Amino acid sequence: MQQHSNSYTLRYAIFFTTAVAIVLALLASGLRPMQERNIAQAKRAAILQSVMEVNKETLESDYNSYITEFVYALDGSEKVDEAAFDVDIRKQVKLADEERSYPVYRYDRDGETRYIIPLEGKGLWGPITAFVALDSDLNTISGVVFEHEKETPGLGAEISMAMFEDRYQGKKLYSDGGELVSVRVLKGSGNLIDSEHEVDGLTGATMTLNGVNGMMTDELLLYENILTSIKS
Amino acid sequence: MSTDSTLANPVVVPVDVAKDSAPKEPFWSPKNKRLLTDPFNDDNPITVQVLGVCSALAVTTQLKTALVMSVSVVVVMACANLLISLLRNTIPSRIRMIVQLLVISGLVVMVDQVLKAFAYDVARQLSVYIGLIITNCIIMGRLEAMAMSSKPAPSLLDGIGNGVGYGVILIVVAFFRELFGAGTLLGFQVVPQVFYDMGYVNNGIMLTSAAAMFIIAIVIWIQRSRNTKLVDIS
Repeated sequence: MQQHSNSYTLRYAIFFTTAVAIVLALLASGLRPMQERNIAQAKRAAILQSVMEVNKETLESDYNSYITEFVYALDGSEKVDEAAFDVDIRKQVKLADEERSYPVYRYDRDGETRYIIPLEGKGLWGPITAFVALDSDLNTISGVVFEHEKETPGLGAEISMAMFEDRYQGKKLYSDGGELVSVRVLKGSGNLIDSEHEVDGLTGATMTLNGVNGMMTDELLLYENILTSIKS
Repeated sequence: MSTDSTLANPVVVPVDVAKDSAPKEPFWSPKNKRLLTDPFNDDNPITVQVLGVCSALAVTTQLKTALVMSVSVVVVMACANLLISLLRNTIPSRIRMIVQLLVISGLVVMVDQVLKAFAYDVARQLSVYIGLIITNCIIMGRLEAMAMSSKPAPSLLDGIGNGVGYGVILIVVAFFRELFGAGTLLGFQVVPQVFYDMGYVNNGIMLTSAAAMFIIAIVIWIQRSRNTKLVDIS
């Protein structure tokens, strides 16, 4: 191969990077609407999954007929002018607690009412999300859905498996004294659980579970006033 | 290892020996077939060239992720080999590695975007690993050692062969790690409950990266004891 001149090398580099950049930019912007739709659908599916079996075909109509969206402020007053579905909790977490918007989804079906609280936290490698469904007493957890982006398969990623999520079912948020204590996951697996505020953990997933605890306690405790105001 | 020196050695420049004079080689010539099959045994990228071990440790806790990773790597490696081979005479030698990297990462980002638009569930499962493909040294190794100096057809076969050779090891390792680590295969329980009742427990070490190291080492051991010409005398 002949030695290429400096100017050829430079021109080649500029041309090649530009070409790749243009192709990727066109592809990304062309596919953006489909990707955003997928993301929104996945969020609807996760919200519904915390309270019922999700059917992919009827997902959108199920969501529209069973779910009502609310947004609250920290003190428990309702923010009427915001749409819960569009609240980006990942950005909200960076704001001061008083300035944040707190979305709540209400599920009504055949006289049965549940409340779903969306939470965000940090796993080991990336963000993790939770949707906590509460019975109408706003105390008993009826279901939890965890989602993650980058946790290690077989270890941290197990938080989104039914066998882990089911451990939260029936646990209580309030202690017998009426204090909001939420539910804590223990380190390691095989722990003996006799409390309504503890669940068994996962071996090898301690860092991810620390993030789960951060969501389920610190973040959830911010909903204290809101839960009280929904109850009354 | 042998390929490490090739990678570090800038003297390896593309030579088109058969450019003008040689008669056109049929696509399925024995030589080309060997490009496909060699990576399975004598020239396996993981066990013989010892490349791509990092991703072999990371993605083999479950059979499913290993399978999808293998398929993605085959696709990216085949396309990258083909593209670089087509461009090989225009690429300035001093920036060839940057150009290779650009082609690989461009392809990987494309795969990721397309998956996110058309197969969102798969894309979410793969999230981390898609990015890991860029850092897979096998791909760059093959571009440098094969695509920069060969015609498109053999380069394509070489890419597919090496991708599959890599995938086979990944699947073998993932099979044992998922079976002994979680008692499942592809997410289905295969170790019967009776075993657990009798006191069998899943082996937690299998879920850690160290286990992949052991399994790869055992595979290398078996392979070299069957094929002594691979044994390093030094």
